[in-house]
Amino acid sequence: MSSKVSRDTLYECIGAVLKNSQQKKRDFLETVEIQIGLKNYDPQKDKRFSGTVKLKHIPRPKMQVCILGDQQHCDEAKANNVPYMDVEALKKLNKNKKWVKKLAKKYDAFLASEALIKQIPRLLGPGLNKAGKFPGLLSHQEAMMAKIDEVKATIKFQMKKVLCLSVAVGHVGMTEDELVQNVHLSVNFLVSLLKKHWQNVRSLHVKSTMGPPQRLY
Amino acid sequence: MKDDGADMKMAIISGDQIFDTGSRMYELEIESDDDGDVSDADELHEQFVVPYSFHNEVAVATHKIYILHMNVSLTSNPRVAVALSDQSSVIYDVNQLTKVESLCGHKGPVVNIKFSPNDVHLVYSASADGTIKLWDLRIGNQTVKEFKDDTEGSENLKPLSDFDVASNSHFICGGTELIDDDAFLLFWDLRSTTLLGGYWESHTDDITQVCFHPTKQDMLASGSTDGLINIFDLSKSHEEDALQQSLNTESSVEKIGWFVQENSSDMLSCITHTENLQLWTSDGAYPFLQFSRDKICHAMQRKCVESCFIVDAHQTNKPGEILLLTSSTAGRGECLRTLTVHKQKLKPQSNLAGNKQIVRASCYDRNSELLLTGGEGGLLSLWKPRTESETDFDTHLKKQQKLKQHQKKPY
Repeated sequence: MSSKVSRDTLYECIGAVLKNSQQKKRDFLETVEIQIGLKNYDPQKDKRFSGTVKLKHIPRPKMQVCILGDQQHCDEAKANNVPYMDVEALKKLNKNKKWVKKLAKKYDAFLASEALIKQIPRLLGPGLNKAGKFPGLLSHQEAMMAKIDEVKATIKFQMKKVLCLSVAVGHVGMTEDELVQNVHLSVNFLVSLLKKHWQNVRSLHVKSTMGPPQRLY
Repeated sequence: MKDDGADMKMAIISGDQIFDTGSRMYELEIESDDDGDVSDADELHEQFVVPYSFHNEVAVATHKIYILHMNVSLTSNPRVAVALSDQSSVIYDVNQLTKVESLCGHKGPVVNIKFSPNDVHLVYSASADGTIKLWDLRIGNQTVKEFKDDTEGSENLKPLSDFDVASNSHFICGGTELIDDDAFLLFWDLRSTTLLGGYWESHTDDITQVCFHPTKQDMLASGSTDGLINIFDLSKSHEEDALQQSLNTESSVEKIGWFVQENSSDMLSCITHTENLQLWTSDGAYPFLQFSRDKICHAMQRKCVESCFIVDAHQTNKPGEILLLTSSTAGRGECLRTLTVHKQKLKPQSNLAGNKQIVRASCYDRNSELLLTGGEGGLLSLWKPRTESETDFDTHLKKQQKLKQHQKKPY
């Protein structure tokens, strides 16, 4: 089965993506995404797939993560210049829908200490859920900054009712090697979720926001 | 406690472990044909200690129609309700595997089917066409009641993705797909079919499973591809107060189930779309136990992690034990095995030899240990534990049959 994407093809395509973006500089940092077309897949009866995977290199460096912390985590956040809130600050929001919505909008993601995460629904109502930003757990066994980087490095795949999907895996400010590793990891993860693996892949492209797509497979 | 933390971290980084291994780094290939057993037949026999045998089978549907959901009603005259991928459902007698009734009428895929908790003649089926139909098997292929949310006109029903009936049979709850940024949990009164209301603030993506607590009538859990399991107290009037806990799986929830036992706290099982198993208490900040796809593959004694998947998790009669039905997509999905989770350990249990299809749905009766499976071949199969005396003779017979089959189909 001729189903592999070789190391050379990967480097060639990503090189072309980077070259294109350098020739035509944009006013913003272009995102690099992969686009996948599927075949022999019936969204109505085949298992749907979706899932999160942690990439090696952070695709969205500008992401703002806010800590909803206990005393220890708040101190640590303060020392590291990370935005944080404690229980008292959350209580002040008073389940007010507007305020919670405002909070959810202000940050891209949240992490909460174990003692707080259980209280979130009671303190804030479903506001963070509605924004799709219910916090992840920050335990005391993990290093805060590493966990924040993990959140930033995690991407989500999801197939809806159409037979194609695209997902951002990096940006043009990254090196060729970093992009290759991220693309590689994402593609392998995606293929592992497909019932017949490569036999379900029709096409695979990589492109930057404004650049032309490069065919990987 | 310390162990838990370590375990959790392991599972979080398990994504790396699968893919990031030196030589494989740049070879983008996962070959489903690579999958196979780690050990030979004799060793497998030693590992999978509980003998289970194929008992009976019936082709419920013709070619290319899948069995996607099923539910069993265990009375003196047990029946199984089977939802097919062609928008219809069928009811079968479990002992004889004979057809009792066909239920046609939905205009979209049937997303789940369930017997009424207290009347064996009543069956509910929910569909992406936006309706939950109630069928009375005494009068045949006819709906007696229909539940729908037509608040935005009868043309704009909300496509359902799952449903559940409360065990006191007063309420029915349906979960919907994401509709313009809202995913709904809708509630109906069973007696009047009136829509009581809905929640739409707690999930941000398709709801994949709705699950009433088996004994606490007001408790409901819902899972979604947004990665959250939400637990509601339905006695509260507003969604803000009803939402008790949000469990963040940091993945995508495919299936959830309550495991309720006397003298121990309630437990929720969660199978993610990435084929991990997580076990939660209803007020946990993290899963107290978690098995990644490679651990499950390892326990199944299979080679290819990317081919292994979990069909379902069932409660057994042993306190604290969970039965996991697992399979592989390799070949035609013949590999079907059960594992048990007991006292934090994952162990091989039975090798279900003779399976012919990729299994998508299953039912398990914890008293008789009877197992029903259905899947992409449209076959409904019945499995039973084997008594000692049958064992040796049967395996011998099976081996012979298998050899014969191979001769007929050389590929």
